Amino acid sequence: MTIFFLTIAVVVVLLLLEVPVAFSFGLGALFYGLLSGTDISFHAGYGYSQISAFSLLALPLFVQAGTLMGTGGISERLLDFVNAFVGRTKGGLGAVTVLSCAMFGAISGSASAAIAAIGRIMVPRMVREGYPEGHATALVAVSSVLALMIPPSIPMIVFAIATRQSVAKVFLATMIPGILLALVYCALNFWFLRKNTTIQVAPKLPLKDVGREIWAAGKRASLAIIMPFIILGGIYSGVATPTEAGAVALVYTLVVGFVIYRTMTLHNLFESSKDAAILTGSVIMVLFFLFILSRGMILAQIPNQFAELLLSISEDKIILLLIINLLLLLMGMIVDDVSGGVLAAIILMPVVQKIGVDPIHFAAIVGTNLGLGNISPPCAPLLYMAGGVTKLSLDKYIGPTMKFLLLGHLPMVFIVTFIPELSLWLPSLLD
Amino acid sequence: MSIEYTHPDELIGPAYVKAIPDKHKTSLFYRLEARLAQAIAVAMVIATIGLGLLMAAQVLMRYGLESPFLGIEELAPMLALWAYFLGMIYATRDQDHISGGIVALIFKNRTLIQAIRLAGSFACLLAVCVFGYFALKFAQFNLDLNRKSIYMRWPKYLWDFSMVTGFALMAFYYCLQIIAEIRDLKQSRKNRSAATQQ
Repeated sequence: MTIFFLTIAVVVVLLLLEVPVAFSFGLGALFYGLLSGTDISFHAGYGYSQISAFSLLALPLFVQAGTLMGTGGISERLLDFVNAFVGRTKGGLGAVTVLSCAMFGAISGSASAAIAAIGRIMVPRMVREGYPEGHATALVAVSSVLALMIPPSIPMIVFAIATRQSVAKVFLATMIPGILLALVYCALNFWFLRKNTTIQVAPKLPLKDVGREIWAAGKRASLAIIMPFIILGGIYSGVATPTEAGAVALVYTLVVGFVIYRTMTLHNLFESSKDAAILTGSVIMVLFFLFILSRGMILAQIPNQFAELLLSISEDKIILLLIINLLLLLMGMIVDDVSGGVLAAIILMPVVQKIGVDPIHFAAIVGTNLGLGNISPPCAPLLYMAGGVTKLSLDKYIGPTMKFLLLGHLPMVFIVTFIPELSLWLPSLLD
Repeated sequence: MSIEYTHPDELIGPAYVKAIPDKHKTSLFYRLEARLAQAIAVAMVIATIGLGLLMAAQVLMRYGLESPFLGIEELAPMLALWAYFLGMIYATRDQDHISGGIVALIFKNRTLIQAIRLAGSFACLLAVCVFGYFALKFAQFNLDLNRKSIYMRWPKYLWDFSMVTGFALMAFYYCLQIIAEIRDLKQSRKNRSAATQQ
C-alpha cells in the first residue's frame, strides 16, 4: 500500500505541476513499476488492447457528432427553441443556457463541447442583455456538467467499460439527477437575478404570439430536437449498440448539416473532424496510461487492500459513502471526468461492492460527483474553459460559481448518494 | 482547436509555448513539418469520418440488407486506433493535451513557471520514449509471430504500427517542444536583463 500511496502522490504532484493528465499517469505507471519491480512493458499491451476495444468506439463517434453540431447550426436552433419558452422572462436567458446545455448533452455527451457550442453563443448574448459577466460565465461552467449526466455521456461510456456494466443502464443512472440538477440551476439562476436591475427583458408577447413563436422555433429546430430520441431510442429499443448509435448520430448530423440546413461546408467538416480527432486522441491517451497503471495495481490486489483500509476506518455505510464522495470530489478536482471515472471504477468499486451499493447506483454517484469536482478549483478544467470563452479572470466568476455549486450541485450529490431509487428506477425498467 | 480543455493561460500565467513557433515557419525544416502536419491532419480526418461511415454501414447492412459483415468489427478498431494515435500526435504538436495544474495560480515568477513547464516537457519526453520502446517491442512480437486478423486475415502490424508511429512522432514533437521552451526561457531572461539595465 505504501507504493500505491507514493505513486498517487507522484501523479498528483505531476498533475498540479501542469504535466498533461495522460503523461502524469504514464510516469506514475513507470514509477510504480520501478518501486514494485513490476514489468510495465507487459502491461503496455494490455493498455493497447483496452483502447482498441470495440465498445470504446462510441467515444470518438459521439465526440465527432458533438463537435460537428457546433458548426452545423444545430446548437443555434436548439437555443432559439428553448428561448421561445423562457426567453421573455427576467433571467430567462440564463434558463435558456441551462436547458440548452442539458439538451446539447443529450446529443453530444461532452461538457467541453457544450461550453464550446452553447457558451460561445450564450455568454456574449447574456452580457449584451445586462447579465453580470461573472454570473453568465459561472452559469455556463456549471451547466456544462449536465452534458456529462444526460445520456449519451462520454465519461459514463468509459465507466461502464471499466466496470463491465451495461452502457445503456449506466447512461440511465444519471438521467433523472441530471434533469433535476438542470431545474435546480434554472431556479437558482432566477433567484440570484431577482433583484438585478441591469437585465433587459424582451417585452412579453400575447399568449397566441408566444405559441406561434414556439411553433416556428420548434419547426426550425425539429431535426435537432428529435436527435436525442433517435440516439437513445436506437440504444434502448435494441436496434443499435451505443457505438452504432454514435455512428448514426454522426451520419445524421452530416445529413442535417449538409443537405437540410446547408450550414456545413467541406472546410467546416475538415476543421471540426480535426478538432474532434485531437480531443479524442487526448482522451484516449489518458485512458491508455490509466489502463496500464490500473493493471499493475489490480494484479497487486491494491484496490482490495484499499477497500480493506477504508472498511477499517468504519463499517457504517453512511460514513463510508461520505468518505467515497469526498475521495471522488478530490479526484474530480484534480483530474478530468473520463480519468476520474476510470479511477473510481478501479479504486473505489471494490469498497462499494463490499458495502452493498449497486454498481449502477455507484455510476450515478460517480457521474454526479465528478461533475462537481471538474468545476471546483484548483484544476477545474471546465471552469477555466468557460472563463476562456468570456476572457474573464477567475476572481470575477469564482464567487457565483461557488454559489451554484454549494446550493445546487453539492445537495444533488447527497440526494443521489442517499436516495438510490433516483438513479436505479430508470435502469430497472430495462430488466 | 475550438475545444480546449486547458487553462486560458493568458489570464493566469504565460501562454503555453508550442512546438512549432510561428516566426520560424519559413525555414525548410518547418515547411517540411507543415507538410507532415497536414498529412497527419488529413489522415486523422479520413480515419475519423471513415470510422463513422463504416459503423453506420454496419447498421444499414444488418437491417437493410440483412447481411452483417463481420470484417467491419476488425476494420473499425483499426481506423479508430489510427485516428486515436494521430490525434495524440497532433495534440502534442499543438499542446492540446488535457491538463490542469496550479503552477500559474500559485507562482507569479514567469521564469519559474517556464522552467517548471520545461521540466514537465522533459518528463513527458521520457514517458513517450519509454512507452514508445514498449510499443515497438509489442509490435515486433506480433510481427515475429506473423499474426493475422481473424476474419479479414490482414497482418496485425497494420493495427500495431499506429501505436509505434504515434509514440515516434510524439517524441519528435516533444523534442521540438523542448527546443521551443528553452528558446522562450532564454528570450525572457534576455528581456528581463535588458529591462533591468534600462
